[in-house]
Amino acid sequence: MNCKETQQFLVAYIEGTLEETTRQAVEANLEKCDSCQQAYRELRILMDHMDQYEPKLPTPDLELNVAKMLQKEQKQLNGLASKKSRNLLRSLKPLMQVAAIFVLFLGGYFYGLQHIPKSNKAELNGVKAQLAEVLLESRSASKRIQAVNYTKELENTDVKTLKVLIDLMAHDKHINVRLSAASALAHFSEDEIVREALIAQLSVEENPNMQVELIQLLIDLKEDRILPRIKEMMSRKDTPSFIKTQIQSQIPESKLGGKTMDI
Amino acid sequence: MKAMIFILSLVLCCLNPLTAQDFEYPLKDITKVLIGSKNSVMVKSHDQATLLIKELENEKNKTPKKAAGLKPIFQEGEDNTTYGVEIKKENTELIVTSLLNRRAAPFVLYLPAGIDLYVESLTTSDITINGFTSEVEVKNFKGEIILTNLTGPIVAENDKGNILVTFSSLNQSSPTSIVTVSGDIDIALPKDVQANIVSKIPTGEFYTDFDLNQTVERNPRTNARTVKGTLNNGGVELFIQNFNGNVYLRKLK
Repeated sequence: MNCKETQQFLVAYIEGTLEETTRQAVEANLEKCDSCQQAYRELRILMDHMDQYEPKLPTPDLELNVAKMLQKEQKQLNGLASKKSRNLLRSLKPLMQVAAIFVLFLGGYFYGLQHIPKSNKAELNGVKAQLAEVLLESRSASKRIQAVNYTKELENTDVKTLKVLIDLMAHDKHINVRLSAASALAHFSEDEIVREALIAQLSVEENPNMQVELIQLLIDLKEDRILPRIKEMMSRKDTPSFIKTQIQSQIPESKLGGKTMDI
Repeated sequence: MKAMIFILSLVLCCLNPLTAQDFEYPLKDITKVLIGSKNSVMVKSHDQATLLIKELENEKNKTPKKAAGLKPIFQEGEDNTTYGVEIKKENTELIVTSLLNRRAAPFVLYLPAGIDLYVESLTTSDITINGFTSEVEVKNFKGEIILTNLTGPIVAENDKGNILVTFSSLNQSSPTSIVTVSGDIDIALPKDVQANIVSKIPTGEFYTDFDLNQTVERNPRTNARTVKGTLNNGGVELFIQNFNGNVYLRKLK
C-alpha cells in the first residue's frame, strides 16, 4: 500500500471500520512513512474535535477556523468552493470529514506542511475525485445522499464526479439515493452527458417516483427528446392512471398529440 | 417430601435458562447487520452485543420435534440457527436471511441498539423496527414499514404501503430520506427538532402541526408540488416523497 492509498483509508482507520488486512496494511505504512503519520495525527485531532462537536451549538473556534480555511480556498481557487459553504458548516460530522479530507489534501497549503502549488486546479480536481470516491461510494445510503447533496453546493464539477452521480441516479440500490442524484444532476444540466443520461434513464425507468422526477427535470430543461417516451407511457395499459394524470398535468396536450388518452 | 419438591422445582427453575433454545450469536467486529426476509420481520434492540433469536417469540418458526434428526432444506440458503434463518458473516457485516415463506409467523430478533441496519422484505410482509440509535435502511414492497423510537439517519423506501416513523431525536450527522409510491407517510418528531424539510407530494397533501418556516424559492419549478421549510431554525435534511398519498408530520406527544 502506498502513501496515497494509506491517506485515503485514514478516516475509516480512525473510525475503526477497516477490514483486518487493510488495517494492517495501513498500520505498516504508517510505521515507515513520516508524512502519513503527520496526516494521521492531524486527522485524529480533527476527528476527535468532531466527536465532541455538537451540531446544534458549534464551537466558535472550530467554525471560525474552517470558515477561514474555506474562505482562503475560495479566493485561491476562483470561487470553486461555493458561496454556500458557510451553510455547510452548520453540519454535521461527515461533512466535517469532507473538510478534513480537504484539509488533508489541500491541508499542506493551509498548514504549510506540504507544498501543493497555488491555483493548481488539476490537483484540486484530484481532490474532488477523492471526495467522490470516499463519500459517494460509501456503504451508507444516508452518507451517499449527503455526498450527492454536497455536490449541489459546488459550482462546477468534473466528469468523473458527474459519472458517479449518473451511476447513482441510474443504479443505486435505494430509490432515495437515486432521487437525490437526479435532482443534483439537474444542477449540471448544461452538460450534454447529463442530459443524455437523464433522457436514457427515463426510457427505461420503471419506478413512478423516478419517472415523475425525471419528467419534471427534463420539462424544466425544455427537452423535447423525451416526447416519444412520454407518448409511449401514455399509450401503455400498464402505466398506472395516477402517472398518466401526472404527465397530463405537466405537458400540454398539443405536444402529446392525439386525443386517444386512455386514462 | 414437600421440601424435596420445592428444592427440585427450584433446581428446575435455575436450569431453565440454560436449557432454553434461544439462538445467540456474538457481534464482535460487526458494524452492520443486513436482514432479508419474506415473512414479516420485527427487529428490537437489547443491551447485549449479540444477535438474539428468542424461542418464546419464534416458537412457530422453530424446526418441529417430528423433524428431529432431519435437516430442513431451503432454496436460498442453509438454516444454521434452527429457526429457518441463515446467518453469514462477510467482513464487518452480518447477513441474516429468513428462509421461511411469507406466511410464516413473524421473525423476531434482537440486536444491539447502536448497530447499523439494512432490512428488506420484498413481499407483502411488514417490517417493524424499534429502539435503535444507529443508521437504519429499510426497503419494503407492499407491506407496512413501522419504525419506532429511532434517532436516524433513516433511509426508507416502500412501494405500495405506509411508512410510519417515530423519532426519539433526529441525528444531525447525515440526511434522512423517506419515500413511498402510494400509502401514507406519517412521521412524529420531538417538538424541538431541528431539520430542513423537503417534501414532494405530486398528487397528495402535506399536513403538520409544526411551525414550518417555509423557504421561498426564487425559481420554483412548475408543477412540482414541493413543500420546503425549516423546523426550529433548521438542521439536517429530512426528505419525504410520497407519490400518490399524503404526508403527516406530527409533534411527538
